[in-house]
Amino acid sequence: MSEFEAYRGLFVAESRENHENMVNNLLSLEKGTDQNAIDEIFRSIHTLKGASASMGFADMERLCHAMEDIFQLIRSGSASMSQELGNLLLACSDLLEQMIDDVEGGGDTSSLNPDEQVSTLKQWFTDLGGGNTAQDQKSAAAHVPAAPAAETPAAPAAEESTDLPAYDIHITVASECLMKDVRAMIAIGNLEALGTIVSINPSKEAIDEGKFDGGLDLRIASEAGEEALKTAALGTEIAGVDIKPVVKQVKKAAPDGEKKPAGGAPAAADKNREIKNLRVDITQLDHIMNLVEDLVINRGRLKQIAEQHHIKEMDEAIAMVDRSVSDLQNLMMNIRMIPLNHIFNRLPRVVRDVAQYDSKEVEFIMEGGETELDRSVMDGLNDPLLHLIRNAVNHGIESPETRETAGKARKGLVRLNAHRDRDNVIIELIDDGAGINIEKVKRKGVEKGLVTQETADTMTTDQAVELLFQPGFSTADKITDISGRGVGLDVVRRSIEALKGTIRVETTPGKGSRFELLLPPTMAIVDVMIVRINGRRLAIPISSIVEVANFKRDATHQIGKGEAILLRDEVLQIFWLNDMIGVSKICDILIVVQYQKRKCCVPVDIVEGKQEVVVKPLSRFIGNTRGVSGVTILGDGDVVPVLDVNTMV
Amino acid sequence: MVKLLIVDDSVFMRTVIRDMVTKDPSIEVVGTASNGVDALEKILSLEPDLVTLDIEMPKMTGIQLLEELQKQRPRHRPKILMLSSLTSKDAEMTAQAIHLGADDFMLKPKDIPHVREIGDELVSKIKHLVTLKSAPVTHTLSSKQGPAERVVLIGSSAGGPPMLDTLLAEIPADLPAGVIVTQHMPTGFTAALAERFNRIASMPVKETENGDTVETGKILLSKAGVHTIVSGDIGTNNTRIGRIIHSNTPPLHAVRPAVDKTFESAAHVYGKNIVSVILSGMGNDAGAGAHTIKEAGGTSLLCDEKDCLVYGMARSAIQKNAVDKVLPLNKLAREIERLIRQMEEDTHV
Repeated sequence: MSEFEAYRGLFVAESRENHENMVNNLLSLEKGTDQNAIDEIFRSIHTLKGASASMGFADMERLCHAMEDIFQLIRSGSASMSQELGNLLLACSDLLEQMIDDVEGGGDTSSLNPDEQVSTLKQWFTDLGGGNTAQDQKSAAAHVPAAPAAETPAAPAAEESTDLPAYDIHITVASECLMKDVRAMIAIGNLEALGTIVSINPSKEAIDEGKFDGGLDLRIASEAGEEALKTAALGTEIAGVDIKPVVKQVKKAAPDGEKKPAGGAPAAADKNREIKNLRVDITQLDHIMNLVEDLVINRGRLKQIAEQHHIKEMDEAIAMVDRSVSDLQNLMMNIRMIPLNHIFNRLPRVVRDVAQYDSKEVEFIMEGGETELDRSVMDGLNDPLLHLIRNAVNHGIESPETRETAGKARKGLVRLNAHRDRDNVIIELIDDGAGINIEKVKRKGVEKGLVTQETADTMTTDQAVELLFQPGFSTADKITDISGRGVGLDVVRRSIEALKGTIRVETTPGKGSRFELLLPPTMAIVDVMIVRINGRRLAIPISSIVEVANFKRDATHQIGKGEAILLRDEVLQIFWLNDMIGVSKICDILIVVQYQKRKCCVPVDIVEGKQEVVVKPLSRFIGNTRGVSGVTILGDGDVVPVLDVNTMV
Repeated sequence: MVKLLIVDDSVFMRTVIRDMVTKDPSIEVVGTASNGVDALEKILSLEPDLVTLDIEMPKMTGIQLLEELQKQRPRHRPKILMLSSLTSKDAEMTAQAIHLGADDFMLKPKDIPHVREIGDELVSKIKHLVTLKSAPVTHTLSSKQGPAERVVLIGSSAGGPPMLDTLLAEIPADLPAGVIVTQHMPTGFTAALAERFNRIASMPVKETENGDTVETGKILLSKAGVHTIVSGDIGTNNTRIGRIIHSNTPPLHAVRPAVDKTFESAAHVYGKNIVSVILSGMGNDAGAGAHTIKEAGGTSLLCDEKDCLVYGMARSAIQKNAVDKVLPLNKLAREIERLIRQMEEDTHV
């Protein structure tokens, strides 16, 4: 049994992969026939079935089998997909997912009864023309005789022997035959071996007495099947056998029922889901990661000691350690990186469900799912992303009628795009819906007491949008099943910021909205520039620095409340970090930082140098401090805050 | 040492198979592959003795791989064991695979936690396969053709196919009798099995069809999914004719074809001119049939327990006191021949 348990994890991992693959291809089938998708689904369900059979999860196997049968028909081209069938198959795949969950939790899927789905699938199968082949197959001789009795539901009326199918048979013995009565008796004997003769004319006695002219009528009750009976009646010098089933609903026996052709060679799929990986418990990876982080800190200390004491011999050794640690660190990073598809893959289904629920028509496009993110970032991203997608369909996209009136295509467009921008990963969610109704937002804001009427009146669009992110704000007119579950955009923002990311919204009334999430690819180790202001150190991520320039105090301009400087024909806002670090008299170096296209600059006293550091999150009681993404410990034990440029610009 | 290459697109399945075979010290897994392309490369570079091959795979299916192997004819051609799942599609594909030169097939491991024998069956199959000669036999047609006057009936289930390899190869081609083999097997897979036996047996082998005549010098393998019933007829020149009927009556002992059905119906047609043999198998099919044969004057043989993976079917015959002789596997063919020749003499006297 323990050996069996060892397979459980593997089974769950692979089954999830196959389940996901199946669902996504089902969804892509909704857009139109795609042989490749059909092949993929077939292979996934085939593998799922095989694995569940191996594990002895009979219910799961049964469900997979029924689904596979349907797909066999579709694959061979003798049936096609429809919306209704798609819904059924998706519902079945939901149940499959529950079964996988159950297995993961230590169950054996027996708590989830698939009877209803299986019988619906079988009905479809029959309707689609699968007919007898499947029936035959279901009642197949079990390989192991001790197999569960439920395996053989197909044999018609097997138990009710009183109600056997009956046939009328007319046998004609060849006219040139010399011993017609003997031939008739052989035929009768052979038929008797297969069933019960109900009536016979002429009777056996009459035939025995020689009262036989070559024609024989009989009625037989038998389950052997028409073909079998016909063969039994046919024999030497039998000219013909006519056989007709008596009862209307007698199932026709067709042992050689239609067989489907192979359906061609599966097209070479461009996917590379080949698994050559070792699956490692993620907590182990986290542990290794912690060790690597410690190593990075200690490396910094070693360096510093060597510098302080001017130990030249140590330089080389430290350089080697340095390289190894860097390699190790990179490797660890890569190991922890997983493609966004991991969470993206579920989204088409979400969009579809929300759209269907709301009777909206939505085309969902995903791009850049191959972009990689650190696993820890990925984990925290799932829920906010799900929420945003639901919002986009639920609140963003208008009903088809409204869209038509507004002169738009009936089908709304939701586009999810992920790409790398320097060291960051940017996820955009764009919809071509109604956009955010700023007036409505302001009204709601006032209603909820978030702002006063006066403030609301003077608010810019951006400021109004900001209201959306306030706790307790929801613009949905009614609370639906789909979104508006009490969690608002404030929760989304908080989750994103907990990941050291930012969220930004742009909206154009009537044209749609664009949500942008900016995320660090990894949370742990970053390249920073160490600077000093007022004698205190500060770390600025290298990835956000575009320039280090000279700074003349008298070159600044006052713009409104802020200060700005003209640098290479660009007006850059100056951020004095006085609040944070205290006022410095020197400040003759300007660090220009950039977040996406926006730049600003920070005046500093000294640039100390570049270093790789481990960013540790601020502890919970300090909370989320905007402007600081965390702290790092340098080699000499100094605790230095890391500037969070994204929330600054 | 048997060098084994495991080919399956499911990592789960590869692991399960590997674990099953590595329990046996004489099998070494030299590699695994997740698709046909990869497998082809590894067959050429690793030169395994045997390959377990999946059918449904991305890039190149098992079938395509077999075609490719036929084309390329590598110097070291491994034995190929198809691992199929229980579907009509796979059954068809398996038959095609055997036709394309695969050496044997087996169902993918099912219900591992409850069925211990599956691992044993896989291991014994692998070991058995590598001992088989590669060149197919050429069939010399029996000099006495036509409807059989005597029959050899063989009933077999789990663990039976490797025994049938031996037995059918040893039964001489000129045996003056027809042979009917009833092997428990899921629907669809007997076509592949017949094709395979045809390469090994001395007589030609085919799957039964409704209406087939039982002929001397030919082996019929019961088609799975229906019962094989032997029905009697008398030819115009007063010859006895045994005809195969495929009956759809419900499974007996949870199996279809049931050995009992064939044994009993044949007993009514051939009476004392029957030699029946029960090989390895689970359950209690065959006991009642052997009893009927003995009653009708035929001879009932059993294979020795030590040669059988499972002895349930044989035991069912012993319990019914329906056994004439128990012999080791390698003595069975000679005894069958002796008995049949004896029957032939008796008829002519």
